[in-house]
Amino acid sequence: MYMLASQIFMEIIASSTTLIYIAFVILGIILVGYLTYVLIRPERF
Amino acid sequence: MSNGVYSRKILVDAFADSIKKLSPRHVIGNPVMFVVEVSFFFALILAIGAWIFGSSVALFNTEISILLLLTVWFSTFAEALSEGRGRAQAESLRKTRKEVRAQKIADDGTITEVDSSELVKGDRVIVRAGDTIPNDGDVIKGSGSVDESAITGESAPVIRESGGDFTSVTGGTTLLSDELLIEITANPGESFLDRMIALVEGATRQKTPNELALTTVLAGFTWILTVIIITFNTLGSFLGVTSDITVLYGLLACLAPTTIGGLLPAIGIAGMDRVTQFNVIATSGRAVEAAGDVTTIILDKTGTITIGNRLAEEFIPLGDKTEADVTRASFLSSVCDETPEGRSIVALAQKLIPDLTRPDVKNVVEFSASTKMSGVDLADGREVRKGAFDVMSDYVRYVPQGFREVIDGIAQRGATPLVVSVDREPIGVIHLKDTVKPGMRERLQELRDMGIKTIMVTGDNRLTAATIAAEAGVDDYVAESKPEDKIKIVEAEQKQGKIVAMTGDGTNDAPALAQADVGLAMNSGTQAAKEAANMIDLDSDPTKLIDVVGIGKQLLMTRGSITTFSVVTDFAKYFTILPAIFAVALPAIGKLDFINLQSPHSAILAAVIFNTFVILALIPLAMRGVKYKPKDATSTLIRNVAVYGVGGLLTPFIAIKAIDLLVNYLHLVG
Amino acid sequence: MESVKMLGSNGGGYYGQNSANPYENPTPATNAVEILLMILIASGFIYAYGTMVGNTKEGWVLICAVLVILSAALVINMISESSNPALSGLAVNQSAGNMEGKEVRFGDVSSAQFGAWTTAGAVGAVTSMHDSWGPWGATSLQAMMMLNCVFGGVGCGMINILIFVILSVFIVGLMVGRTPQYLGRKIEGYETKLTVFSFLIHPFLVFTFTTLGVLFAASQTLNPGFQGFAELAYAYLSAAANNGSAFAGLSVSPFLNYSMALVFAVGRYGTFILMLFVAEVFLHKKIVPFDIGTMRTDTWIFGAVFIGVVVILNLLTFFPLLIFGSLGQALATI
Repeated sequence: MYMLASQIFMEIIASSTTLIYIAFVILGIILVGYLTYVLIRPERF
Repeated sequence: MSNGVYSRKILVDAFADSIKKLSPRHVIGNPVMFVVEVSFFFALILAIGAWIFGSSVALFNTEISILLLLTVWFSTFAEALSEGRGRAQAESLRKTRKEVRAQKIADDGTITEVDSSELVKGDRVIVRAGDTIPNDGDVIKGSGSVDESAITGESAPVIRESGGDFTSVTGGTTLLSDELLIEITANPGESFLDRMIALVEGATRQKTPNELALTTVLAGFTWILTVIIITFNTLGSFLGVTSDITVLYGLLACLAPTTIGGLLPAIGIAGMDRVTQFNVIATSGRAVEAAGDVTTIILDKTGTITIGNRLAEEFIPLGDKTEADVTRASFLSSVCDETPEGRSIVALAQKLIPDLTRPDVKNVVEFSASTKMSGVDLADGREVRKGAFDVMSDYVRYVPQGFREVIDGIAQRGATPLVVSVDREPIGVIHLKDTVKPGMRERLQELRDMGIKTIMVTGDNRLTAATIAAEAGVDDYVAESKPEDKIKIVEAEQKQGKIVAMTGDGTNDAPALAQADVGLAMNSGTQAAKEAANMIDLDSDPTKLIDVVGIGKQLLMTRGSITTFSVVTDFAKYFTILPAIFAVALPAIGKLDFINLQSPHSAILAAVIFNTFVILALIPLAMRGVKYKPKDATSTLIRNVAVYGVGGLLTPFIAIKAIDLLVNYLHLVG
Repeated sequence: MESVKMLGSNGGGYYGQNSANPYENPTPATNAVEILLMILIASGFIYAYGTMVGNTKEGWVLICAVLVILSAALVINMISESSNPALSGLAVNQSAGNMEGKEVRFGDVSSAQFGAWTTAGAVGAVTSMHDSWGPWGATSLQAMMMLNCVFGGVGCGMINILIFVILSVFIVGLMVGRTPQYLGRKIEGYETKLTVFSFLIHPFLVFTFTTLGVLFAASQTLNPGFQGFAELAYAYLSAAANNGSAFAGLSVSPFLNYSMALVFAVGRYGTFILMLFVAEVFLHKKIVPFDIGTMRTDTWIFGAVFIGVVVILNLLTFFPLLIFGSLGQALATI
């Protein structure tokens, strides 16, 4: 069970460098959105 | 009461507290740190992935992730530390408030003994010598000497008495003499001590306007840097260069203004604490910032600029009267006068004529600020009065020869002349000496150096005021003022666009205190004054205002200096990280690395280590505040730009080079 | 037509070669006049600003500060164009400087200067082909557009200068121990917000669109590597700064056309609109009188601070763009 799970995990990791990069970009865009909100309404924090 | 030492308990508590503050729910309030924390989470996942995948960058990724976490943690630690210090101060205050038994007196005079916590607003208590005053209140009857060291740390006792401006007593202090009838003015848990504790503890909750504006600027920088990081690899792909995401996060953390972003909360809290250390309660951080902006200060003469306890020095006869006549008349006028001035008149009279006896007094006329005179009506029918010469010259039946000369002569020496009359006949003048406090001249000069105008206000006559004003060195003065004049002066200055600060203690000061931008009330003052003010001095020392202004300025200076430092260090970081990122793909850019770092990974690591630990290193500076000297703007600017601007340009190069050597020596990079 | 083109910092010439064409700009004398016309209004604005606020020293400090930056650009340009790096190892006589893409009647020095003035003043007219410039000069040209406030365009240069003045006063003003105030008005949350947004528009547009350009228009570039990247970056910089000069080397495509038009519009009007709100707010503020505790903005130290803030803030944001482009290329030649 453990071996299978980690194998699957490794396969996902290997084929997902682009996926990771896309996740990185999306996360970045979310952060930019958060920062925009802070810029507009700093009092909320 | 102030305690500048980091006790072990504070450090340990701060440690635990800082871990709790790492929760994203808390960090989200700090935009720069939140971005770093999010980066940490992603970088951590990448690091774990690298370990599983057996990638060569596993160690590097892990190190960067740890550093990202440390960056956020050092910031929460700074915050927790400053909060902890504030709380410690509050705790030491709380400890002074013991549960005491109080003697509550009902309207019909019956006395019941209750716990101090059962007293509510409006209750009256009797406090006898040796008792602890149960809660905040006003003295309705009596006068006594109070030891306020529990609150202020000052062991010299102070007089609290009914009527006048010294009626307020604070819960937790001890009455040393006599007996006081006190009306409680605060419900349990709402006394000034409680409020102060709440303030010091609540100092985190509200961001002041300036802090909010600065947060906007910092969020803005972080904003564009995040955009750059997102687009970095796409841009690089044109040249065939891609960088590890972990490296990009390291770059982001370094370039974002993490130094100031991480320390901003701590700076604000520490600033408020410093005010408390000076034994001043500020009702908000806004009041402290406003203090830094003050451009006009209004000070009273007697007791603030001068020592205040005016002493009778001489009795001068008028017209054809003799010195003995004046001495006797003065004695009579002041025999029921409990003020220090009155008592000194009696003492001087008794010294000159040892066999004076107390007369039979039918009626006592108290001094009031509007009549400016006081005295007694004797049983034998005589009316004895003393007062300011302007009202007395209207009051007496005739103005004697040489009146003006005697008055002016006294006034020119900076003293106050009091005219004494019996049955409306002028007898003589009392010379009340008043001296400018030692060191006052220097302090007022300090204010002038900062561009702050000082105005002295007094009910005294013009000539005395002028002399004292010249001696103390105030910029302007207002003489013969009535209590209602104060607010007019405040408004006049504000109309000119000035930020006004003033001190006060009487009820008649309340409107002016409320109108002023910074109102400092004396703790010994009346309730009304304290309610109207936005700061209260527990030491009841009006010159404390000067210190408060300094603290406000220092707070703003600390923010500005660390911000400048934070932004300027980015310059050096670019020169270290970018060459490292492109070292392999674009060796040309490697030429930027003029400090010759060992390897790309060690360079990036060194830069991030510097970026992280500089926060820790600057915590003491943030808490203590930058060195503050009252000077004009241009010199201060040059000095701070030189230290923090130029310093921020050069220090990182040296530090990163050193760390780089260390990192390689310790084989921290694969 | 030339006068209109230059005075109005328009930069669009009758001929494609713009001021390089002899019909537009025949002699070095006319060249000098053209240069003068370029910054006449923009610098006039700064001086006028000083008069309007009642203290011409305010204007002069800014003019001097901006001149310092411009001088640096001039020097870099002239040194850069004094030789062609591609020909450096070869047996070619370089005494006339880098003449690739230059007009003979102007030579390298004058073209170098013109380049500095045109990118600084957001004019966009050219007397030489910028794609042929050496990397250091190209970096300087792009830097002028990044700063967008070294005199800048008619009106918008002044606005950008003010953005940086406000930011400088805010950051540095704190160091003096007062809440920041400019010309007696306190700088508070609302206007700080708007000024920061205005500042962010320019780098945001440039970075995102250059990225899109790399993704969708990479094939339109003429040269590979650093040079090609610079072509793209320059195009969007020029659009965002409303410059109008071209690096050239880019072949036209609908994507480029539309995206650049969008960048032009947002780059110009975005800043204008936001700063108008700021102006409105400043109009109604209570004025606090000056005293020696106020940080003055008409001193040499403020001028130095202004230069520092402008350079550092822009450097921090635009550095990667330069590194991938002309600056990277420049370093490669060392």
